Amino acid sequence: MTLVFQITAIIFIAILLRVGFQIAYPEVPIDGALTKLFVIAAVVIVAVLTFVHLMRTKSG
Amino acid sequence: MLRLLIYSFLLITLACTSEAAAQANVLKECGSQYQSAKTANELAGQSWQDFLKACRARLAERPAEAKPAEAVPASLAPAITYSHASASLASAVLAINASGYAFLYSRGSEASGYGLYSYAILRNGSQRSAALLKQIFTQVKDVHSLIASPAETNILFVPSTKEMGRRKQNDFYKNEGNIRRFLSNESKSSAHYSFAIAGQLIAAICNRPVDEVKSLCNGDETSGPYIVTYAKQIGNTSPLPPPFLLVDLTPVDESAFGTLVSSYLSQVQEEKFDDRKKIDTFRNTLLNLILHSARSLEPITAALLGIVHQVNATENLNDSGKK
Repeated sequence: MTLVFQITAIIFIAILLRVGFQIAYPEVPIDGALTKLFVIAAVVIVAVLTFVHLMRTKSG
Repeated sequence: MLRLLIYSFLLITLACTSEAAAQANVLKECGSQYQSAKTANELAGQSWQDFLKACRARLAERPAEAKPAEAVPASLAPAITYSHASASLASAVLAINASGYAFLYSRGSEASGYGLYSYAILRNGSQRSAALLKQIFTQVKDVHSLIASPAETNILFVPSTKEMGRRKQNDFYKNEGNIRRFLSNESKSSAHYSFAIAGQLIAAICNRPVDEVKSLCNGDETSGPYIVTYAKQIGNTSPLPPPFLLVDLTPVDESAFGTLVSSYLSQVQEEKFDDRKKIDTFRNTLLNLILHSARSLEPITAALLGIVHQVNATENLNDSGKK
């Protein structure tokens, strides 16, 4: 998993989370703190996926 | 034959047992009513025997568990065993079709005949209190502009110090600046939120409080805001038997107030207004969790930025020292 791929995945997941939140809670304004949370959540998701991918390739 | 005898014996035993249990329930209920009346000094010289006789007659008149709230005299209300009063008050409420706000200028001045009575209770003039009022004035219409009959209306009172013209009320409080002024007490000439009436309402609710309102009664000046809904005017009765619907916004993030107020407005239209089915939802809990996580990130980010800044400054100092 290249760094470029990881960064792209982070951006994509963060956008997905933001859009999902906006659809689920249209009345809640999305501020800077919420955007930061979505980015951090995306980073965590990508980190977990990378870890799982590494473990699988290592064992395989 | 023997089998028939055994069945008859069992039936008689069962009937006797249920009769005894019903008697025990009557005694238990009357006993607790007597204790409540005694504590409230409302016995007026009545002995236990007289009270029991009257209580038995009263209970015999009451069809099992469902009795309209209007049939309970106000003077008897404090003596009602709370757990039983709960069901009777809940069933008394007609289906609520709409909610409308109105200003409350003194305790006990609420007009009668409304389906439900709600109160916006604030303990301070903070940003959070202003956020709740903004949501109320935005999402709830003026009660006088509603088409629904009063019996089908939940009237949401906002305690206020002075009466103001209806024309001025329209859209006046939708402006955030006007809400801030309404809460700040800056100008003595204009109307502002009455914390005194809010305090009186809290005192009435917290006179022998039930579990549903414990969080309101145990709160301090920094807690809240709250919305309390009751089947009758709070101003006229104290202590108040349940059911209550308390929306405690203390643990809720300010940005979620709109969602919570909207859930509350749906909740009061439910058959049982106090069952919180529309308020304690997964959607609301998740929103609160997300918003709290986002707010708790702010100090962490600030701390990390502070550390980075400190490291950079130290490195720069070292570099300049070497040169």
